[in-house]
Amino acid sequence: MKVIQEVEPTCFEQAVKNPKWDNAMDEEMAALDANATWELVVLPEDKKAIGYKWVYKVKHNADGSVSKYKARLVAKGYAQTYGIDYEETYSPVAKMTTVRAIIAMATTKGWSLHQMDVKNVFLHGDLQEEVYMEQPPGYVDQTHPNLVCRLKKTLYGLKQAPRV
Amino acid sequence: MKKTNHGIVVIVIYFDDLIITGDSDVDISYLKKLLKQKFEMKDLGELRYFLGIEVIQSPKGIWLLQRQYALNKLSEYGMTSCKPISIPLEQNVKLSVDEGELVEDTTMYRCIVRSLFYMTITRPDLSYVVRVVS
Repeated sequence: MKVIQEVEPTCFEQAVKNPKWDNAMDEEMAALDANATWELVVLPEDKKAIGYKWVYKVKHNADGSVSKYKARLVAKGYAQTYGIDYEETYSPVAKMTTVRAIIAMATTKGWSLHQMDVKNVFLHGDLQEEVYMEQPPGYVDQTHPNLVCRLKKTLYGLKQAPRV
Repeated sequence: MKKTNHGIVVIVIYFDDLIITGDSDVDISYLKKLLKQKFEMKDLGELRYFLGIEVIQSPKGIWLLQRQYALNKLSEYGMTSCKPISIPLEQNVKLSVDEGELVEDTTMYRCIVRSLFYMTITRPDLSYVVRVVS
């Protein structure tokens, strides 16, 4: 039984030195690319670009073994302004009591329970509002370093994210 | 929740995690197929681990446990070498705002309270402890 947890990097500078985390970031960028999450544009004068942050997490299996090194690019959604960058927010989250009630029902009726999850859930939603983000560190377009990312799909951290 | 010709199918959605259950396995497989066509999804088979809760399904019933969650929290708070005891609280403990020593790391204290509260899902007997410390 492994109880000592691996240290998760807190910033890009730390993570980039470790091939495991570097790989994880490449994977995330490939997924964002494949989804056409953003396009590079010139930032309009009356808009401002929000920041980003890399978040690193070691994923564990139920027995405590490491299942995956996960890097996730998140937008600093708290820099968005209500009414300008976003309007309503909503997230489909079941209450724990509901979950327990369903499980109880399955028990009494003898139903089997199944589980699924969505890969990169937020990337399925198209973004209505105009949101600009700076280019992520380490992955800045060499020929156009001054352009910003105009987001076309939602990204983790955005106010719009939980609505999808 | 949806009724079909065969019976009923229930879906619980927590963000990107789904629990699917119902009385017809045919409908469940069909629903999974539909979902996979529409979204990029991973079929995790039988429900085993959901929001930090381990689920064990057996003919006798369903077990819910948060063993791994509790172990993770113990290591997070540096308490892996602590001994388990049957009564998790001293008798007649009174916490006071203005008497005694102050808690040093208030953020960590709140995190622990939160973790304890989360564990009341499978251990309702912890509710009393949570009430005392929060």
